[in-house]
Amino acid sequence: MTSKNRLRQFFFPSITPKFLLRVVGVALSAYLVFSYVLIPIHIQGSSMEPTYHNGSINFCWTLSPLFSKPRRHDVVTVHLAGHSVMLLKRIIALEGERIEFRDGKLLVDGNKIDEPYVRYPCDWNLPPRQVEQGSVYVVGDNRNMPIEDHLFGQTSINRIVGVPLW
Amino acid sequence: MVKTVSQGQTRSSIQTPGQDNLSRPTSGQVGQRRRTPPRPSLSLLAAVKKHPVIAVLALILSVLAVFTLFPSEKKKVKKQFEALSRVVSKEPGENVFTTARKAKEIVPLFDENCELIMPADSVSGYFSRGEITSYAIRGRTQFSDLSLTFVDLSITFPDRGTAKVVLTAKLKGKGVNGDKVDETREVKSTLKKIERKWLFVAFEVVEVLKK
Repeated sequence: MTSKNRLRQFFFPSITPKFLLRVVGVALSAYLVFSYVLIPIHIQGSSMEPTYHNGSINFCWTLSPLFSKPRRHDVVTVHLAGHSVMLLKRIIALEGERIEFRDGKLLVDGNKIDEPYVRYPCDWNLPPRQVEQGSVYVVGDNRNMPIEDHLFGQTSINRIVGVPLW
Repeated sequence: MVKTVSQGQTRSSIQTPGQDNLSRPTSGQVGQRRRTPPRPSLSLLAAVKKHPVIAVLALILSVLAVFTLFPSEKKKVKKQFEALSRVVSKEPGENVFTTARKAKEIVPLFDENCELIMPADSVSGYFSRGEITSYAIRGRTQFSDLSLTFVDLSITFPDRGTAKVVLTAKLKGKGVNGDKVDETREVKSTLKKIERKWLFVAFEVVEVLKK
């Protein structure tokens, strides 16, 4: 087969049962991978600035929770009723820990936690509270806004869908 | 003189001028007359075999017609949410007539009393249909444009006249003072089938992140 024919065969293949089977296989694999394993996400909002920018594209790697338990500083996606809309937040405290914000500084069990990802000034104050069993405490990286306007808090570990791929 | 014979036509049936049409039937013709007409199913099968594309199209259209004319209960429940989304949403520069029409359309979507639970806003209790309507109207006036959409609807029917729905509600808009609003919440809703119509009887905003 000449190279010209090969090229032609590649772009305009003959519709054979084998070819159709291959097309179905590829389509099915793509559907399963991009629906359940690597969910494409379009980031909307500025609560994770400057780590994740408004309007950027990423993928949610859903197999991550199967291999490792959630750890402090992990960025995770939290599902609502389904997977169409998810919240992108950072874990700052684990179950059983006591969390507090004092003059913008994060304190876990009374110890100040260094957060290099928080680049903007923050003056939050939040009285201490304990994270319930089976939950984690999540907050966005952008704390340069009034505490009332920022969506954060503790959520069930079961609500964690995965982590952003990059 | 006939030299060519058209398909399916025998020489005996070819008429020549002056020939009587009522010629004596042959034994074969008698047999044909006695035979019962072909059954409709067979002719339908023949038609399907002859025009398979048309048959498939007709089948698809029939299925679509059945689904459109006789919607499932799930679809009816979804339609209620679509109606709620439509009447709450507001286009920029909405005129008074549209506002009045939408206010009127909100009323029949709810039952006489509807339970609202919003823990983050410390709202919990039963509200009459009129109260909900007036809240909705008042709320709409705070926005120059507003869009309420429902996604990821998960509908279950715990009993015959009840539907439980878990969904994500997205409220996006611009306040009259120029402030942008972009809220997303998980909501649990209950609908009851009253007089063959699904009406909202409860809304609960789920606290996914508890401060």
